[in-house]
Amino acid sequence: MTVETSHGPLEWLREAAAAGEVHTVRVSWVDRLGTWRGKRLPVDVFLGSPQRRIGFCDGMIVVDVNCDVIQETPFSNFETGYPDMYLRPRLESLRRVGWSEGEAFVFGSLESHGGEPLGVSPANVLARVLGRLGESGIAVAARLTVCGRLQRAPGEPVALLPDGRGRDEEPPGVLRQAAEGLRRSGVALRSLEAQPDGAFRLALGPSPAAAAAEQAVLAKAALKEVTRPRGLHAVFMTRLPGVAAASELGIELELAGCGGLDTGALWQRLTPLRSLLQPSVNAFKAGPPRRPSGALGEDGLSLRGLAAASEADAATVLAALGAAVGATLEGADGGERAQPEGLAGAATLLDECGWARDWLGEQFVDNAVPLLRHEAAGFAAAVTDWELDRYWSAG
Amino acid sequence: MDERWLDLVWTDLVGRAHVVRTTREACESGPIEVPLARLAGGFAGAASEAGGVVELRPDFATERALPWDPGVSVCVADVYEDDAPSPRCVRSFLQGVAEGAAAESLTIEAAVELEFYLVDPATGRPVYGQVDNYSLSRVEAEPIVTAFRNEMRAMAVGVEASNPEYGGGQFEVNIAHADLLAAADQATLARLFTGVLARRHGLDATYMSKPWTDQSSSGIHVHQSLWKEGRNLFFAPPEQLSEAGRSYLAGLLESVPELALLGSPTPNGFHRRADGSFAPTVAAWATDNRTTAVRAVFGGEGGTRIEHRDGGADCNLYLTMGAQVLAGLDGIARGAEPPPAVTGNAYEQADLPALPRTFVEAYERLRDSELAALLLPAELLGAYLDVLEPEVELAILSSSDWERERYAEVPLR
Repeated sequence: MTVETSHGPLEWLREAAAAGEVHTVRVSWVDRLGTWRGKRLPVDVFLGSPQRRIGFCDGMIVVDVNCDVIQETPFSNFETGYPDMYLRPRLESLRRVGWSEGEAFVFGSLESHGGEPLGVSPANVLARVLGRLGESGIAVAARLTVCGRLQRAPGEPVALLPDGRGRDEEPPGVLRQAAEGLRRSGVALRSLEAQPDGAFRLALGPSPAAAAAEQAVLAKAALKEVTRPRGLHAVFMTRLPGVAAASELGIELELAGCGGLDTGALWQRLTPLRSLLQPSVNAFKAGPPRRPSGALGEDGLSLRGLAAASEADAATVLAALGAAVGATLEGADGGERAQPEGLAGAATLLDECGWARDWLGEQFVDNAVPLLRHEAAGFAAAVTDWELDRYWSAG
Repeated sequence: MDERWLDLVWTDLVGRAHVVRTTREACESGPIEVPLARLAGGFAGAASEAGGVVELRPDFATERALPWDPGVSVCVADVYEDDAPSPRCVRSFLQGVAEGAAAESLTIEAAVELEFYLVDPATGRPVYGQVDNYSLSRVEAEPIVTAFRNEMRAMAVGVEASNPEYGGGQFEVNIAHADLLAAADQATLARLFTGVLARRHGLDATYMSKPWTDQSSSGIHVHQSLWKEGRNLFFAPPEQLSEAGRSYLAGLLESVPELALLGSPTPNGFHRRADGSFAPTVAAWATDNRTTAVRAVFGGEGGTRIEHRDGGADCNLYLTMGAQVLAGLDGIARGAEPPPAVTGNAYEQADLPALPRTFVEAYERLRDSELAALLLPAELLGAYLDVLEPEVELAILSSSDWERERYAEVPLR
């Protein structure tokens, strides 16, 4: 088998294609909810013009969780006509899809027709935040822990054995298969833990923050893709009925070059960002963000104990946390804010937070806020099972 | 003796591809005849009253081996009657369009986007329900789509990308641009073999325009550009349409309402037309705007093109593409000037020319169209109208599930 690390990724792909090991390249980007999207290209098409920009309908970067477009997002709507956005492949990210025979992937940067980075792309926002921290001499690395649950259907957990197999599965089992695939894709997988109630945890990194975000996307993708053909589901929804613990994205940040930080002040600054850390009404059921702890080391500061909703996009979360760190270090307005009652209130806090707009960009916030409000409004209008159970015979 | 089987593929008037299995030796030793109903039978097919036979003449330049079926090649055929190309042969028509352009040293390049659904035969529903446009992890049907991409490329059909589309279980396939006839041939083969490959994996495929009320419709988008001596005649630097490009666009746009029936040969096709559906409802154009029927897309000299977005996925590719090109060339010949490009949401602009909303309206627009009569050979146009005439009556007379569900006082099936 050809090995990616022996020389440049493009040369590896050429050799792998020639050897018949790779037939398809996923040319990819990540949406605001962490879903891995893109097109599949035959490898010879990709190799024919590896740096060619690929067009996509730009509305798909501002859709809701069901892929529905809404008209309140200024970046794209029927008035803008849903033109193309363009993906410019980053060839250094080219790797094998370790869990899918014959496939490679490449991440890319989303840009406008004119080549400007799209401010609605979480990866671009994270790059913006990391770049600004870098100007202050701070480099960010992250250890992420992706948590989820294996279920056959809503409310039907799959009991997992300690080796990551479902109880009725032959070895190696879906979790092991995903984990081994991730390793083949170069993902820095530290550990895999499975629980009898179907819960699993994949610990990743440490990796530079941008790479860590992409690795979290790959981890979720691998888990979804190895489970779906077996009629199973890797579920990253935060709270599930009958399950006490919420699924979360665990985060440890290593801030090289950072001499100190008031973690209390940082924690306060997470309040207006809560809708980015917990981007659904379900995620809010996990309660407000925990207060992180900090430890100064030789290279800088370690922040531990941070968490976001498991379903949140890792790039968005890391961008939000980076923005909070930067704003705290800059002493930007950190006035204490009450925790929002729900997602709609959290969206308003984000909307009104000047330093969040400054760090994350106006375009990002202006499009995130209506989507968050749309989600909250949808829930407010929905009649839930709980209501039916409780009120059906009322009156 | 060459013992390979040869599958001859031809397209009937309503756009359906048919196959007959023969051998090259048989083709060279005498005419391969098929019932006329396979060309002019319409949706009634063999049950139609179209009697007699027609002759298939393979275009051996299109012959390619089937990668998944050793010993079998496929070849696109033209239909002949009385030792001449049949006036009802849509491929011969398109070839004539390309040859007419070539006589003026022009080459028409076209690229086709196909949309289709993969269907679970057990349920008759899409293989999955959730819309997940561009998702890379929606892998339930990916083995089929991967096989489709790889097998098509192995048989020189230039599939260059695919992705889940804006319907659950719906996919889009992009085919590389090629000269006009090759583009239509390749799209025809891709459409034909989608179903073959899907069935090999236990699923069905459909290119029906609007299979389900609650799911997106499937369209066909044709990207087109005009070349002369290696230069793209639509391109004007830095990023605009040339005078020829504007005139071509004007001609194309003018034709959309009157030729709508060519892109939508079934009553079902008109269920696509709805505000916000990403299928056009008005004859408007814009630069990179998905609410319009025609889009100008810029990408340097190599990538500047005009995209026609009105056809349904089940249209007659040869007829639709040929008529579009003729309309565009007619625009150039007349020095036509397009109306201003639309800005904003074309669905909400009441002053734009409306496209036919029903099959009957589209039928009447085509039947009464002076433009269609100018552009299309009379016999071909007449045959097309004849073969679709029963659909007019049937469309009016048929009862649908929707009507039973909405109007019946007791459950009916």
